[in-house]
Amino acid sequence: MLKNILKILIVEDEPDLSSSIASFLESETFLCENAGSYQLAMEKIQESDFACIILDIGLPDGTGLDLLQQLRAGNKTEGVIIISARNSVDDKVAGLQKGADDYLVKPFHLSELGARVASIIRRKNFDGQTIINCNNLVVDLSKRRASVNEIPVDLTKKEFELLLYFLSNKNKVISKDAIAEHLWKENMDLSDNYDFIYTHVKNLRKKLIWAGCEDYLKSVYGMGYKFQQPERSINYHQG
Amino acid sequence: MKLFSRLYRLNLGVTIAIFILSGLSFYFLLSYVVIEQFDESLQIERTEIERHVLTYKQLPQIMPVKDMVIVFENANGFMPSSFKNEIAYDTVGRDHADFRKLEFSVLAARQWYRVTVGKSMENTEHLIHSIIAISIVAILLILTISSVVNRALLKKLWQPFYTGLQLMKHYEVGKQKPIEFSTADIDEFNEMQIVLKQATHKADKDFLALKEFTENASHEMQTPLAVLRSKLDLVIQDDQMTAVHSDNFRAMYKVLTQIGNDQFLDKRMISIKDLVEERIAGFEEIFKENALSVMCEMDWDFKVSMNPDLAGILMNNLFSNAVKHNIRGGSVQVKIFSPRKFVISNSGRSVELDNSKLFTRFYKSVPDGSTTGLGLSIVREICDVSNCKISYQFDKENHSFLVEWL
Repeated sequence: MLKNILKILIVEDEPDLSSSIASFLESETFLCENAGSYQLAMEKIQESDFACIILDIGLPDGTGLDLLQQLRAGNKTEGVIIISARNSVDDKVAGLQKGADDYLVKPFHLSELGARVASIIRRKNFDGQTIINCNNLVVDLSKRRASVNEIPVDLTKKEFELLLYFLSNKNKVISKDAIAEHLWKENMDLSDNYDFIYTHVKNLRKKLIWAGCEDYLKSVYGMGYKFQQPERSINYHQG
Repeated sequence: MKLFSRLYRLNLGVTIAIFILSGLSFYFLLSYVVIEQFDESLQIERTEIERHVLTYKQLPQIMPVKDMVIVFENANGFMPSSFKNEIAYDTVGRDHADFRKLEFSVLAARQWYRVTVGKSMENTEHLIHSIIAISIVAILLILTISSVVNRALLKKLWQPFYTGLQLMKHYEVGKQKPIEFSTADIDEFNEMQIVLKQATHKADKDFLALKEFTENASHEMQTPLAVLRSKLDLVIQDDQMTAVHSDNFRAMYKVLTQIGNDQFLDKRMISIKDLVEERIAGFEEIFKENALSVMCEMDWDFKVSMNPDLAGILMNNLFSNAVKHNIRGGSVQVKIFSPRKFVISNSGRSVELDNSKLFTRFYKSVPDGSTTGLGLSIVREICDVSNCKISYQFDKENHSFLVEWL
C-alpha cells in the first residue's frame, strides 16, 4: 500500500499553462511544484526527488533537452514527459533518445497528460507490474484485464483503454474531444459526431454495472464524462 | 551508356579507320617503291644487252637465271620500249609467278629483235604479304591492349567522380553530418566537389533556417493554444456549470480542436450547379473586362460531399486560371454532365501544356511574374482530399480541365 504523496515537477515557462497543469494534477496522491526556468528546475531537482517531471523544451535560459541530459547524467531516474510545441519526428526521437519517457505535443488535453503521468508513475514505481484497485473493481495492467469482485469483465481493447483513461483521471471531467484524441490519436476523422464515444462509454458502463460494479461513470451534460471516485481512494498494489 | 563503353566505342571506330587508311597507303607506297626498283634493275639488264649487241654485233647467249627470263624474238622493226606485269613461267623454278617485264627492240646484224626481260616478283610479294599480316596482328594487339589499359585507367581516374556520386546519393538534406569528399588530384573533379559541397552546405543551412522558423512559428501558435485548452479543461471541472455555459464551452472546444487539427473536415452536400453559378456571377466583371464570352451547359446537376471552403477555392482557382491564360476576346466554356463530371475549358495559346508538370507547384507555362504557379497544385490537393479527380486535355485551341467526382 502506497500512501505517501508523490511529487511532480512542472518545468514550463508559460505560467498560465503550468498553473493549469498543477491544479489539474494536484490531488491526494500528487503534489505539484512549478519551475519557470532551467536554473530553478535544476535547483528543485537537486533539492528533492520527484516521481515525475513534466518538461517543456523551450525554456528562457536553456533547453529542456539539456536539462534532461543533466538529469540522466546525474543518474536521476525520474519519469520525464516532454511537452513541446515541436511536432517533428526528429524532435521526438531526440527527446526519447536523451532519456525521456514520453513526448506530448502542445496543445494537449490535461486529461491526456494526467493519463500519461499516471502511466509513467506506475511504470517507474512498480516495474509495470501493477494492479489498480478501486473498491471492488480491479484492473490488472500486465494482463490487461479488469474484474469486479474477482469476476472477470469482458472488455474490448478500446473499452479497456477507456477505463484506464478514466482511472488515471479520476474525479475529473474528461471532454469528448480528449477521449476521441486519446483513443484514436490523429488518425480519427474528426466529425461533429461523437456518437462513437457515447457508444463506447455506454458499453463500458453497462458491462461494469452488470458485473456488479458501482456506477462510477457519470455523464456531464454537453461536455463529457467523469469517473466519480468512491469514498476509498484508488490504491496501487505491487504484483 | 557508360562513359567507358561510349569512349571505347568511339575510340575503337577511330582507331580502326586510321589503321585501315594507313595500311592501304602503306601497301600502295610499298608496291610503288618495289616496282620502281624492279624497273631500275630491268633497265640495267637492258643496257647490258644493248652494250653487248653494240660490241659484238650479235645477241648475247642466254644463261638461265633463277627468277629471270630473257627472250629474243624476231621483229619487223623498231618498237618503243614498255613495262608490263605478266604471269609467266620461271625457266628455272618452273613455277608460274608474277613477272615484271620490260620489252624493247635491238638491232643486231640488221635484224630487229624484240627483247623481253622479266623478273619474278614472287619473293617481293611474299614480303609485302608478310608485312601486311604483321601489321594486322600489330593493330589487333594494340587495340586490345589499349582497350584494357584505357578501361583500367579510366576507372582509376574517374574514381573521385564515382565516390562523389555515391556520397550525393546518400545525402539527405538537414542531416547534421556535412558531406565529406576526398580530394582528388584532378582539377575538374576538385572543382565539382567544391561546388557540390557549397550547394549541399547551402541546402542544409536553408533547411535548418526554415525548420527553425517553422518551429518558432509553431511555438508561437501552439503555446497560447495549449494555455487555452488547459484552461478549458479546468473550467469544465466546475460543478456549478450550467447548460448555457457548457454549450459555449463546447463551441470553444470545437474551434480549438479544429485549429489544432484539420480545419477542413466539415463536409456538406454541395450542389455543383449552384457552386458554378455563384462563381460565374462572381467573375462577371472580370469576364467583361477581358472581353471573354462565357458559354454554359448546365442542364445537369449533382451534389457532392465537400468542405464548402475548399469547394469555393477549387472553383475559384479553375475560373481564375481560365481567365489568366486566356486571350483577349476569347471564350470560357463550362459544362456539367452525367454522371458526376464538370469541365471548364478556355481558349488560349495553341500549345499543349505539359501534363506531367501542370499540377506540380511553381509550374508556369509561360515564365512571367503575374502568376505564382500554385493555383493548379492547390486544385489538385483539394481534389486529393475531396475524393475527386482532375485531368487536363487539349484540343486545337481549347485547354480543358475535367473534374470527376467518384
